[in-house]
Amino acid sequence: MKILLILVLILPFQSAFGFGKRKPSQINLRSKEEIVFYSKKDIPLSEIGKIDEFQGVLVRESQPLYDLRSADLYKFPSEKKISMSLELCSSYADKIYGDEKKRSLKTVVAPALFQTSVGQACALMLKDSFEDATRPYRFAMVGFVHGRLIALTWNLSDKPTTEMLEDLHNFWKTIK
Amino acid sequence: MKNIFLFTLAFFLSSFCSAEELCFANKTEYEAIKNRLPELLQQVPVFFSAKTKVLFVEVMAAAYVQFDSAGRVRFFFNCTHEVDKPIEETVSVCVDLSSVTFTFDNKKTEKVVLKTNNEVRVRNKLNIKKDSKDEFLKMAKAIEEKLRGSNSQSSSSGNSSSQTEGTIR
Repeated sequence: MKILLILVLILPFQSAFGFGKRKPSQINLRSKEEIVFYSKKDIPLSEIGKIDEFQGVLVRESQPLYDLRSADLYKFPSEKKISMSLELCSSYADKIYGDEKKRSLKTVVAPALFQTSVGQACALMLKDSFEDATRPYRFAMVGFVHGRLIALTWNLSDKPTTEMLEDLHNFWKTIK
Repeated sequence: MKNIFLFTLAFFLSSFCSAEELCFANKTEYEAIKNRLPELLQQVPVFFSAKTKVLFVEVMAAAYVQFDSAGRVRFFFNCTHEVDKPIEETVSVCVDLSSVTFTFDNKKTEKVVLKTNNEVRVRNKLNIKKDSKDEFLKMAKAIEEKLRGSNSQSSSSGNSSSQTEGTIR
């Protein structure tokens, strides 16, 4: 009985401090894949170094490759434009990672547009110039999903293969 | 009365001046001010690690501040909770008597509290202590293994329960 009482008293605090189990949050995005979303409110340490538009982490439950499983989700509700362009894509990469001329992440694959059933999107890849970075590659996808601008970014340990990039493109195309 | 007023004013002015903020974005700037920095940052690279229990949950964390070959400041932080992958970025640093503020390339800032000469507090929830590079490397490796391990465990679980199990990091 005492143990039960202690647990009842402690568990809410554990959750409040963010050290307990992660709780999935609701998000108004759907995918044909099984996805789980963890809000930044529940995982505040993951927010370090990220812009305010960072929403949390989207996990692809059926993806076996560790690097491709979780992506950072950003939402840009104030964007007035409704179609993607290379210029818009670069401007959001600069917003997420900092001004390209000054940042240590350099573009290795220039932004390229692609079409999905719910709107245009673009993808680009960056590489950290720091020689000892554990995850030197960043792959970012920015695009409109039913008129709302969002971005997904992945941190990758190695240069992704063509198959991996295809997998990420295909995943984006499942998002609604 | 006038003397008391002047003395008080001088005291507050000296307090204000001693709480000056010192900033550096590269090794050259750091070398110029390092002797005026809090003891914790007088020798960069500086490594941190933590293995602690917070409300019965074991938490491991590892962090560093060091210079890259071009002399830029690098920040690293990884943790077994809340963080899926290490946060590793180029930063600029501003330091006062009680805190260190990191500014990332995207202009986002993160303030870390200086608790003691060898300990900092992150986001008002996690204390990490200054440690050797070897201990940092061991901890960073253990964190990575734990994150990858829990990840593959959750991915191998069945569909109906995977959402719940995937939340355990």
